[in-house]
Amino acid sequence: MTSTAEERAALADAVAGLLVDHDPVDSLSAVVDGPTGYRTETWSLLAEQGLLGLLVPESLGGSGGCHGDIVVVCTQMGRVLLPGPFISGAVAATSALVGVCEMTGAPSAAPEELLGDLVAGRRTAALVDGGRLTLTGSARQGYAVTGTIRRAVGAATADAFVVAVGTGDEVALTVVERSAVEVTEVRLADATRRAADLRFDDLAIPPAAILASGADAAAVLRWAELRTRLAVAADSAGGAREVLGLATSYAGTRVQFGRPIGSFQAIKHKLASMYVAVQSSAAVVAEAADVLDAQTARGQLPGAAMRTVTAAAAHCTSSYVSVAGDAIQTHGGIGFTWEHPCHRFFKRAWLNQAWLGGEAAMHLSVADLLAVDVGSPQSDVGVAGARVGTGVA
Amino acid sequence: MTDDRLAAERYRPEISGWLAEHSQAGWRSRLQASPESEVVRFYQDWARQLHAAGHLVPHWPVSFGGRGLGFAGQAVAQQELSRADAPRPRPMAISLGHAAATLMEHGTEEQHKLIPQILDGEIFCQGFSEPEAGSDLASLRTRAVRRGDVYVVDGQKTWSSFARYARWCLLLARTDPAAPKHRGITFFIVDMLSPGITVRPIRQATGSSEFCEIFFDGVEVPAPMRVGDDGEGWRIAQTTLVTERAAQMIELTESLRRSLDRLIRDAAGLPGRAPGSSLLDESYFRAQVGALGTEIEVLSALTQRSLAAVTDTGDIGPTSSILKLFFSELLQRFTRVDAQVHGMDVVEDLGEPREVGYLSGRPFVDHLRSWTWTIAAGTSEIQRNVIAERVLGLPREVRL
Repeated sequence: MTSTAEERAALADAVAGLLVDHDPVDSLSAVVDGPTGYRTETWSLLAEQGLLGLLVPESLGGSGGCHGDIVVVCTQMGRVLLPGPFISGAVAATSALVGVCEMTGAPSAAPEELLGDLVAGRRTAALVDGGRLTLTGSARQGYAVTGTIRRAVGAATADAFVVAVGTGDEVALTVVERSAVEVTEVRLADATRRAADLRFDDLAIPPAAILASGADAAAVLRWAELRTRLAVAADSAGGAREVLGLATSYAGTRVQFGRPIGSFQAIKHKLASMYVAVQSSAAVVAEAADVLDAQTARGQLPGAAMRTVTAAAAHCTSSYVSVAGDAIQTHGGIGFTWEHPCHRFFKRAWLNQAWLGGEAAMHLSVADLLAVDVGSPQSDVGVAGARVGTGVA
Repeated sequence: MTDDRLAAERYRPEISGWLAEHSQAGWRSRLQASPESEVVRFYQDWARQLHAAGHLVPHWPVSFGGRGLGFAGQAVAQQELSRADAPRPRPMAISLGHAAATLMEHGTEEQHKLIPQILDGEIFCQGFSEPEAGSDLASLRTRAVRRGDVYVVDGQKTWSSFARYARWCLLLARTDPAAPKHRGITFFIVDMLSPGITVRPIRQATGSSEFCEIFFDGVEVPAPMRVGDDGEGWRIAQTTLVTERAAQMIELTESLRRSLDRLIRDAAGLPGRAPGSSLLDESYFRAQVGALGTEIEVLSALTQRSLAAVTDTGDIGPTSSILKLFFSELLQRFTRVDAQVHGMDVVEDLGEPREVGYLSGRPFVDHLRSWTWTIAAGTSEIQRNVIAERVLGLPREVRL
């Protein structure tokens, strides 16, 4: 079931109210320097409101929301630059666990228990890409895993990691407790998110710990990845709208040469272009959510649906980068100061884009999906099915 | 989905079925080789065929000859025409769009009698722009002076598409030179056969000459051919113009999609740098295709969602500025990539290209023509002013 326009508007108001009351942008610098980098009280509120289980079906203890809802929530979080691992946890890791639990013959109760903890806010998790780890063994006998996952977003404060190891048909999903790996926190330019390098030292993953493998795991990951792209796109659309608002009101009040600078076409046209980028971002991310909500079967996704979601991710993240940069330019010197929030939007925009693999990789992904559609051969240099996304799979 | 959109969807199979049976295969190349007058006749015949089957104006009210399917029905028809790659009756764009909308909304019963002519393929042209009134359209100087039962018109209009073949002209003329400039303008429908009218084609950068100048020398226009009251011309022109432009967007988005598919197929047949490879194997080209594909996806979402909002609320607002800006600048980027892949073949002499749609499949013609989109009907700069002032509320330009 998808929500109606009225329900979404009410959800947006509720989330906006909650975040503005508890986590306003002006108090951001104190929060992001704290031990976890986000306000745990806010996290508890999100849990109470059912927002940590938004993408979890009611049968698994969640709120059974739709993709349109997640766009609404992430857009609002983007507007206030909400710190914390919402997307890496409540979207990416949660989606992967839901996928595992929904598979027929779920291997054990462990993923469902972890899911319950995540939805209730008792623990946190991050979905991480172990595609480059050295893997020995097989899904049947179990694996031994060695190597380092670099710059895993949301991993710095997570209690557990949902890890995708292996590549292609050999991909397998498992959950690794924080204590099982060496976690080195990496501070990011975007202080609202925290990453970590995770070192695996011949870590044994017994067959019982493998939650999904092969085509099943690939399907679960693809959904988690698309939802992550959708959430990051929505965060970007929200942030871009907010920073455009800052630039617009500044241009309307800042007087130079005896006129508000917003009366000069040089500024006016820049702001108009920013507005088009913001409106088009909102349109395409809403469309992407509708496209995902229209899919009934979990396994197979039509190329057109993946293309819309990937295009939304590419457009929203690159629009955010441009709009945030233009907002700094519109503000002039004041926009380049640490106290002014412009740089925080700019840095979050960059993190969002890098997180999804960068603009070129997303464009190549769209091109591959288009080429398949018109029946042209896959290219060797193309990256269809490659790891654009959470850097997941 | 609203009732409007449901009704439009029920209509879809009828038009798509009809188009499949009445395919005009090869029409582009036939028109490219024909004299312009034959091109115009072809479109007039095609418009009559479409109308006979009920597919020319399904969006019009039943009382005027349509099916009453409204904006949603128009969108469906445009989509299906585009998917079938059927000809669109371009020389009748003004008649079927702006002229008809103006007549229906503001016309007298007497003026409504022109509507059957429109459905019979008669061409209307637009007499708005002047040599000294382009972006600043409201500064136009063509005058209409009331003398008894007629207005006498003197002046010069320009950029008037297909005026040579037009039977009627939508004219904006100044009736009150003393009034503030937007308020002194009146809207007329002028018979192009009236004594005192001279039409001269303008050869465009592409080599073709759809545009014309129109000279009015003491032309008498009967007072009943005035639309609305004296001084209402500006307002009348604005309201219908904006809605009509937005309606085209569905078709334009579809044709961009199709053109990108065509570009990908072309590229698969063009050589890459490594022996045996194709252009489509080059990662730089693939990234360009992906960027264009991304933007087309965005345009499509933006168009569908904004037009759905227009259907539901009836208020187009600044939507058409946003859509036109996004589309026209994307069209320019797309046609540039499209033209570049064809190397020296693309820069051969263009001849006199015929009007066969915004993406004719001749990449350099299409690229050159993309400027008609960033300039005509409000330049990109004017659109940005509109967005900045009307949406973002920034201070208005100093206007004289």
